Amino acid sequence: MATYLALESAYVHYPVVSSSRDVSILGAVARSAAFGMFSQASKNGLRYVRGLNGVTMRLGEGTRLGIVGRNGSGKSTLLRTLAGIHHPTKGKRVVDGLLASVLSIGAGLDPEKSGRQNALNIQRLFGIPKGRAAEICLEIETFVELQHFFDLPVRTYSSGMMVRLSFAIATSLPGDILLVDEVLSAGDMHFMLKAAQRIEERAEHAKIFVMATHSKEALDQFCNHAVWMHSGRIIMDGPPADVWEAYATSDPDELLRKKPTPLILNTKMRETGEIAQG
Amino acid sequence: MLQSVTSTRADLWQGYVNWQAWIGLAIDDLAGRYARTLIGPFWVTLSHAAFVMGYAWWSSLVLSADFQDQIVYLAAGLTIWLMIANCLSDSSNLYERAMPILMAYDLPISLHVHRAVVGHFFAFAHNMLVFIAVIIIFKYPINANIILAIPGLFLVYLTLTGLALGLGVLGRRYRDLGPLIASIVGALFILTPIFWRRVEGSAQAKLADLNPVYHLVEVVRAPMLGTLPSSTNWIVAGATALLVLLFGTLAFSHYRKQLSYWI
Repeated sequence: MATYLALESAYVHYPVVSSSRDVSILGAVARSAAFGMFSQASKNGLRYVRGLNGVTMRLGEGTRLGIVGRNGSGKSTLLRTLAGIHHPTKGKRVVDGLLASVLSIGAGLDPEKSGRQNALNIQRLFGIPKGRAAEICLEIETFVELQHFFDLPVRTYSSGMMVRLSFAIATSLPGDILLVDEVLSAGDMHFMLKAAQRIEERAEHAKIFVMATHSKEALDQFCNHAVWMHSGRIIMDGPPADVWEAYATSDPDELLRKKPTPLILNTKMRETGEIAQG
Repeated sequence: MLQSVTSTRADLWQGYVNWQAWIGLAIDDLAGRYARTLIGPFWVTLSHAAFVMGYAWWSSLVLSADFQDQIVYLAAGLTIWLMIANCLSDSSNLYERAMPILMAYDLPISLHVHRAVVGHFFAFAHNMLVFIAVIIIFKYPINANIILAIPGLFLVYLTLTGLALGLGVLGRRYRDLGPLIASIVGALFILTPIFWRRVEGSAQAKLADLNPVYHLVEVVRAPMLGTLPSSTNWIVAGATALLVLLFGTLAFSHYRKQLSYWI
């Protein structure tokens, strides 16, 4: 089966809880008993943030996609939705293949456990057999260069050390699809170079690679295609250099007025495969 | 190896089959709660033992009940009740601890449901030591009926899984569900024959019979004490397990996708 990752007109509208009434079961019962007599902005009185606003992208093997955009444009929401952490409130996600992601640094680490135990625990969560997990753990140990700290509780780590560990763990998980959020800016110079090298190695083996970035260098180095996100939509896609150029010079609101077109990359293999299956 | 989860059915199934993960997490939870204490999770056992002893002593003094009879009845009933009550009151903040993992990795959400339920079962196993000790110390005659406690426990376990599935997601959505349940659990404790006994034909018997928790307790407690649960006990306990599982699965499949939004 060809590796494939897609969003079909995906919308992610998530609620913003601004008062305890929004998350009260007593409030919900009272509201439904009042038959909406006190209806507010929406049927349950909640306000929503539009994280993604109708994104269609079909990515096949060989995709190296970079995402650029201003803060709050939906880059991280897009990655989280692709990663299966957020679920589209409308539209759907299709995934064929194992997926690994580096989305948030320090996540999933237990401060009371050592770096080694944390590494093994996360491998266990993913159902990786013990023998293989030990191998991966050894590889992580070499990468993080934490020496004796690797066997001390994570709460004794500096923030930079924690970044190293969680980055190494996340990038050691197996997957044909690799998703990376802007993480390379954390950690010291020595680590950043190592991390970039590791991402490059992983990206080479990954069949689909998607990364959000604020750096032109990273875009040129890792990606063969780029999209520009704005207001939860893809407003432009094309070769990384062109997209970066436009991103640096044009007004996104003007592009937002154009009708969005679906982004379809390298899906030939899947389509012919589907025909063959009948 | 785990595949990406796209449906409720896949979530439930993949969460279940990865049992090493949820059992491991549950052991970590239990050990973590008593980290840096000498006897670790046996604090659960110790506090349970103290409570059972205290109550049995009090009731033999004040209610002039038979101490031995009372302590065995309580050690069996309270142990089962505690597992049910803890699951009721803890399930609404089930995902609190799981949030870092939920926000970082594409893993089945139901892992954390199984983790919580088996955690309650582990605590139950620690508390069972008190029952075993009481049986040995007071030479209480147990018999082969005790085997029937296993299917009884199975029904209780299914009910708890349904509760955790449903209350977990609902508690994430509605933050006052936790306090609401906590206030009900106290009343439920008094209404369930744990401290008192169901006497056939009395007003108390009617009260007990209307309470599904009584039937769940009884299908485990009666075999532990060497008697047989009534067929009503079995039927109501079985029906409760099925209905609660149905409720849990429906609530889970409805709220599962919204879990990461209700921060």
